[in-house]
This record gives sequence, C-alpha cells and structure tokens, in this order.
Amino acid sequence: MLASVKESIPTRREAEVALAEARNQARRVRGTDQQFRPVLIIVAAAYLAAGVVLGLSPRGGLPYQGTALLVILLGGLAVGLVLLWRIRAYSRWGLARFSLSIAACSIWNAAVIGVSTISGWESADQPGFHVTVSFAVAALPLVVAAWLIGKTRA
Amino acid sequence: MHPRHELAELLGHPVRFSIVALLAGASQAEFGFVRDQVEISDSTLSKQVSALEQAGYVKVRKGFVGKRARTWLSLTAEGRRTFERHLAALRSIADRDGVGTSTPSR
Repeated sequence: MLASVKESIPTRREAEVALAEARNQARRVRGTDQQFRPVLIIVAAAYLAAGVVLGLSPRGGLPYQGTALLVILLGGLAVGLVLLWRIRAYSRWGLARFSLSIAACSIWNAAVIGVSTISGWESADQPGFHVTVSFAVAALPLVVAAWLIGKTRA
Repeated sequence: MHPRHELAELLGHPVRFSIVALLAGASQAEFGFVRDQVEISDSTLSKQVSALEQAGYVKVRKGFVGKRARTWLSLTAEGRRTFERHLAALRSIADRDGVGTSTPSR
C-alpha cells in the first residue's frame, strides 16, 4: 500500500553517474562527425583532379577531356553520396558544419572564378596551370573543413 | 522546490536514459547505431523506443538506403526539453552536498 506512494530519488552519486553517462553518449555522437571528413576530402580531390585535367588544355582540344571531367566530377559526387548514406548518425553540429562547409565552398568557388577571370589570371593567353591553381584554391575550404572536423575530439 | 520534481519518470530507467542521452546530441541516429552504442539487443531497444515514442519523446522514421531498410530515431522537441529539464535536475541533485538519498520519500 505504502509502496504505491513512494518514489525513489537518485542519490548524489547516482546523479553524477547519470550525468557522466550523458556526457559519454554525447561524445559518442560527436565522434560520428569524423565520417564527414572523407566526404569533404573526396569532393576536394575530385575538384582538384578536374582542375588538373582542365589545366592540361584550358581551351579544350584534348581527346576525351570532356568525358574525363564528367567521370571525375560525377564519380566524386557519387562516392561522396555513398559515404554520406553510410553514416549511421548525424550530430546536430556536425551536420550543420558539413552543410556550412559546402555552402562556404560554393561561395568561395564563385569568388575565385570571378577574381581569376576579372584579373586575367585565367585568360586565353595564360598557361594552363593557372586553371589548376584556381581549382586548387577554390577547393581550399573543403580541405580546411575536413581538417577542422578532424580536430574535433570525440 | 526539490529538484526531484523536475525529474522525468520515464528517464529514470537507465537504458531509456542512455538512449535519450545519445539522441540528444544527434540530429538523427540509425537504430543499429543506437543499439551498438547503448549495448543492448534489438528487442530491448525496440521496446524502450516504443515507450519513448508513446510518451512523445522520440520520433521514429523508416526509410531505405539502397535496398536496405533503415530505421532512424530522433528526439522530438518535447523529448529534448524533457531531457534538458531532467539533466538540470540531476545537476542540482549532484550539487546538493549530502542531500540526495536513495530512500523513498514524499
């Protein structure tokens, strides 16, 4: 009879153990953020590879150059998507950080292309490696984001 | 007011507490991931998730990755608020020197 009106209050020790468990579980979820790294690195690598292919002949003319670009970019995108699909948990900040990295890269990319074109760095009379350098600079936010995510302690 | 009043009864169960603590830091987590991290069986997780879902703390979403069926779990806004209140109460209890007891009271 009395048992029906009883309630158990955690002791101080039990509360501390529960808080430690909460911290432990939060750390485990944060650890999953590391899985965004290979996605960012693969997209950056595909972008850089596309820059190298374009840099070999900026005005076209190489056989299969277009096909190679398509394979590199679509391949990179496909591998990135497969890796994203394989992630089993998304931390709240990890997903936001990943999305921000992609958005930052897009904006940075547009800025790099704009500056490269306006300044004449990528004009017709410039050597091909200028294109490759522009692509490498454009991919920097992805590399930095991957590095920052790697620094996050689980 | 004693912090015990802020404790959520449903989260007094250690397994349910661990599940919610894991989901609190996640946008969403796959069923198998939660099972592995909390170190419980499929059936135990299923049972506890049902209880949490009925209470409105957890949202269950079923989807497919390729041909594989996947179940995703996430905390609802209510679940998140309840967990935060529960954690705050636990912190208060942990901070109260020697006040907490395991003896029943009311």
